[in-house]
Amino acid sequence: MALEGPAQTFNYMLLGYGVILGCIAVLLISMLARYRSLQRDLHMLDELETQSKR
Amino acid sequence: MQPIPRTLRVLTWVSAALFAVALLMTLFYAPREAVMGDVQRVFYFHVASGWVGALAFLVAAVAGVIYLLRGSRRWDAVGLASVEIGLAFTLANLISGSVWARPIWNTWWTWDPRLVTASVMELVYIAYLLLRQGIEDPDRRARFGAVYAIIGFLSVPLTFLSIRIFRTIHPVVVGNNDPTAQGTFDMSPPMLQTFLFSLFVFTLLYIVLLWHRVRMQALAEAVEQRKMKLLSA
Repeated sequence: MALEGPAQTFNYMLLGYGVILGCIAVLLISMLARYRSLQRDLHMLDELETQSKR
Repeated sequence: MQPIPRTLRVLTWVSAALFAVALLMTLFYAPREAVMGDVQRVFYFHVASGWVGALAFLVAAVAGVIYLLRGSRRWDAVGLASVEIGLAFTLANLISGSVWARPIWNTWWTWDPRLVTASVMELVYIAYLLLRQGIEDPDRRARFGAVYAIIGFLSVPLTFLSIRIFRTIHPVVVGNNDPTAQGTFDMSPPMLQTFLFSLFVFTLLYIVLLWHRVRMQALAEAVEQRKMKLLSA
């Protein structure tokens, strides 16, 4: 029997894109969260250093 | 912490814009494949993710060699950053491949040489991160990371060549397919343009992410040094 047009795989395409974009998003969010946490640590260290000088 | 360099700021926005263009090209410019249908569109980002994974692990190995030669911790930061990015993109490559395989091979997973070698490669680099965390001395950790990244890189050419030297059902993009490969297709000019553009955009994205991640590592080390200084005072 001949195929009638392409296979119906739209949902798999959405899932595939979701996975790829999701992995990139997790990497970005993780980097952003760690960057903010480091910035907070840096500010806290600044304050501690100022207090210790007083 | 130095402010973000102007070049990096521009590259970040350019890569985000080009990524959106690439996404639109895969969805609307590249034609729907005649047999596989829409799921074939995953191919463009699937291969680009795999390419970034391999490139990232290559950069980590090169950074390892330079670290061993020069002893500068900046290269250890490059290696670590590159492995982290490579892991995320290789994971995207593995899972998107599995999603593509479900309607085409009628299974999420099969013990094909490409799938196995790619998974082993991912595990090798997950172990890199885990083992690094277990070493407290920064110099020892950097030396270990450098040697591990060089040896671990052996898994990359093995993964690339697996579909060329072993009997496989995985399609080969560059070169001849195994006669048993399932899911192969001929690329029309718009498909080829979309594919090459996606590779370019993902490479640019990798460079931008690596730059940001290396800067973050420099910040982490600065914070660590300040903590030590404060504790010793």
